Amino acid sequence: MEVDQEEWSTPKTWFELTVVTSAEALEAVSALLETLGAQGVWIDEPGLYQKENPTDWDYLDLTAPAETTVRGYFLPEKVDRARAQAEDGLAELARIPLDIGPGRLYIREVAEEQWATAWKRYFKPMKIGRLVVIPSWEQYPLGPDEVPLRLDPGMAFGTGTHPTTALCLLALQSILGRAGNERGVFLPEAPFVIDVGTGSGILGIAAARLSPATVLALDIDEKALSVTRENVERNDLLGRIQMRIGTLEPGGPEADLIVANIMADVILDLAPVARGRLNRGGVFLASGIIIQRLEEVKTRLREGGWEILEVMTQEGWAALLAQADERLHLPLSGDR
Amino acid sequence: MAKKVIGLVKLQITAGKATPAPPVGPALGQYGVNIMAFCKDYNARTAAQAGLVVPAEITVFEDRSFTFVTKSPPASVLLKKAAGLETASGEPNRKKVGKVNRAKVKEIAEAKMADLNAASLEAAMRMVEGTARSMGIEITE
Repeated sequence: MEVDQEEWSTPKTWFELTVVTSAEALEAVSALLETLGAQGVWIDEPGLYQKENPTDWDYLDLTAPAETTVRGYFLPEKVDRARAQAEDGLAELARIPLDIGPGRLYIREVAEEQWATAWKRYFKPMKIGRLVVIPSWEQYPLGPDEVPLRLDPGMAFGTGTHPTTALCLLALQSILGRAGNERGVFLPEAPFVIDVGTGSGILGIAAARLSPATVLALDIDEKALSVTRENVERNDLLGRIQMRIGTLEPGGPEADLIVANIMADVILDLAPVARGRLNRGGVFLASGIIIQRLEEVKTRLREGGWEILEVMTQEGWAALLAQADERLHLPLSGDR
Repeated sequence: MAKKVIGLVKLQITAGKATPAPPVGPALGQYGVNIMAFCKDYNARTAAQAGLVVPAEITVFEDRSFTFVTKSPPASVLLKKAAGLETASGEPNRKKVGKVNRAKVKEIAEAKMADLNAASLEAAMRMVEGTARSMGIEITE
């Protein structure tokens, strides 16, 4: 079903009916609220906070709730009846006997809000060095030296608001073009860049905006890559950014710059492959490293034949620039 | 990128029909998630099950990007099918709109055993029976 946000509207007020219950009564309470007229329910339960797959997330900044709650939403003229019937329904469930837990009910008025568009208030044009991340609905008069990145947040990581992304965007500005030469990094004028775990595509797009680079953007998540494509199109870069499902593999064309904003363990796994896929003098920009793992990552990269050129940190996160250490003649990975 | 989670939301909504109206709006709006992107994707992914309730578990990351997985329909969907109902009773305590026998309750409990996270088949059957009562479906022997 196509959702048209212009046509969609909400009534003035909704009433949120919350039932505090138990895991055992969760399905029954959800069915009860739906039967009483709620168009779907919102469930919060301790089980939701257990990882099903190890790759689901890296850090959980939440505490699991002690209780199971089910919320349904009703129009003002229907809420009193729904509440009375919900109370009767809970009593009926307890007679089965089903453990209904605390069985408490709360009602809260929820003011009308244009939920379809309200989230946009969180995203404003954001300046990171010379780069400006601009959501599609925002007008932003660019200054003479500013470089636009047109991106909409959605189902792919990388909106520029996270420190790991911001660090990479700053690092790209410091190594591409003249700025890099001044720092002793000599990348070609039009480098070949591989962006591993591209997500929204923000880093590949930034590289292509800051230089005449050609970019190979990789992501193992097909869904993320469809967002990458939208963003690449939005920035008119389809001719210079190629997208592919997968990760960095040994073999294939050598890059001048490999960017990976992922996480410490993945960086360590990728590093030997990256070393084999970089041209002489090529640079590895690795980010997504939580500060507690920084020393370990640095040590292991050095052991793997990398020279750490620079470490950048922001709000508990780190990114680093590395080059293959020419003094070491370690075997390179892959087919080289 | 290192994914720090700031929100976990489970919604039980109708496949192919998600809109920014409650519960989607208030549940996801508080995290600054692009609600239209969620609705569009959920509706596309569940189009083949249109009309059924298909739960979605949404994970919201620190930069307000998100991902979600869909789960198998709840027991209520199987009960409606077993009772041959289009809709449940609007007054489940007073008006019974269908019947399901205990053998069917057991069958549904067995099918949903893993999702229900029940300690025993008896517990799962109690959960299914509770769901039936919540819908105005009578249990017969």
